[in-house]
Amino acid sequence: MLADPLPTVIMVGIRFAVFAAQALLFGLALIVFFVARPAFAASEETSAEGRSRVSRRLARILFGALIVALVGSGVVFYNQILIAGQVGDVDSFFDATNSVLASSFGQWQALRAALCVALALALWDRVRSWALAGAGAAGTRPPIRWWAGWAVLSLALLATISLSGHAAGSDRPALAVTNDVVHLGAGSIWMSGIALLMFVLPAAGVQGPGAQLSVLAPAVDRFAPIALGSIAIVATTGVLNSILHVAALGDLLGSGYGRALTVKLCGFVCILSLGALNHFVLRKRLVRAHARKETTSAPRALRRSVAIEVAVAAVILGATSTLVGLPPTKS
Amino acid sequence: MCGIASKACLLSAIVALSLMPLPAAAHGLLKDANPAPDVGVGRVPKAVSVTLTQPPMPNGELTVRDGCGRVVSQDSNVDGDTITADVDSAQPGRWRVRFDFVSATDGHRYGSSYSFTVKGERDCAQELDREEEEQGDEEEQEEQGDEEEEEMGPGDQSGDDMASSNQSGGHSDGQSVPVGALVAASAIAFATGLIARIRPRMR
Repeated sequence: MLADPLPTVIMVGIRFAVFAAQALLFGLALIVFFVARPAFAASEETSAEGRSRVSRRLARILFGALIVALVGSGVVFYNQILIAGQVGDVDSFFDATNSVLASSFGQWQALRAALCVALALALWDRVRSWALAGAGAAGTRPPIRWWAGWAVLSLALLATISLSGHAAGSDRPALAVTNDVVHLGAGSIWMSGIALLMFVLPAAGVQGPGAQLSVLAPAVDRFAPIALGSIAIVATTGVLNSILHVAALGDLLGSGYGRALTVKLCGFVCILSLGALNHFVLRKRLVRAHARKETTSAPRALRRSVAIEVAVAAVILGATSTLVGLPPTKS
Repeated sequence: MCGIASKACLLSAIVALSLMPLPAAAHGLLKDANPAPDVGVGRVPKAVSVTLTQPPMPNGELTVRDGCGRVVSQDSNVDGDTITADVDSAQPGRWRVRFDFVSATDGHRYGSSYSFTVKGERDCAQELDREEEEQGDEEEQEEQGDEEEEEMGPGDQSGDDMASSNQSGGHSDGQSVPVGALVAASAIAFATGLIARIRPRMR
């Protein structure tokens, strides 16, 4: 008999970190391409130093996410070996490892490590020099295959979550996995968008509030329809996920899985309210102030609102990390 | 920023903890079973099998207890989504079947049990006598084995090794590690990463 598996609380924390990392790795590929680059291209006031700071911060976040995804996946795999060692007459670590690797769950986990290394190959020493290169400033634009490689590898990494989770064990695996990948992808895009506004773009304001506003206003303006689309997709696929995994409405409060889902739903309603505030009030104030070259308190208000969104996103991710460790009420 | 991030982490930890108490349990796991749950069969079955809604990892285990509560199942065999165990000679009565496995699909550990009835008169005392008799035989054989081992010397343990390998061989899996597929998929991923990072030619 091998050692006991790691405590549930630790595994929830590790899954939280791995999910957040994988979401950023995929979402930032699209958000940098469709939001950050056009925002810098539209901005006349950002300096080379501001761009360099943003690129550096982006690179740090991405490599941090890669390390977290790789190490976290390793811990998940190790824990799975310990779980396998609890059943049957498996009495050696080698036998338990073989047992895990012979399962589709273990194979997707192993592939996850390979995808992390492949992503590191694609991004190493390139994010800093290529992410914002040629966006309204001197420099050669990075080849489109770089963006495509980044997006494809990180989407494959994200898909390993669905392929080794409840979706794969559902009655209709093809539908459930496809739906889950779309759900995770859309959620990742939204989450990466708010991460960009909260943690990355403020670095552009090295020359003062004017420079910051000149990037923030077009970024928020570009992100608004993307966020709206992502949230709509998350809602639709989320409803379908619930239909596939929850047997009865009463399970939403009567089972652990249902309660975790209810927390996600409550978080989602908060996000909708904050999104509406950002879209209809703060975005307009930002764009108006930028067009008229006025000073405004809107960036600070936006930052507060986005900070709350980050907190709610963390709660949603926490509920998701718990949810995947619990059995769905329908199978 | 740090304050908000730590508050968010704290809040999600509280939420996660509040959701925690329910452990992963069996949920609609049984697709089919032979003998089926709650049925009555006319004679002692030669084997018991359960077909699950999710394929188990190769170490899935089936434990069968007969009408006298004795474990009568031999090693479990996993084939696809079915676990089978042959049954030794056993007594009628209410039989309990317990299955434990780790899902090959989502990695969760599941377990559940059910019972069925084998019709007929049970004689647990007779079974006990026979068991004692068998135990006596085994002890005798062990003594002989020890003597033989002493005679053969410490380097030759083929008898014991064979017994243990037969036991673990009982877990025939029908599943193996697809090394080739994993290596090919990893190679494609590495190639994609390398091609993506190549610098464009300067014109």
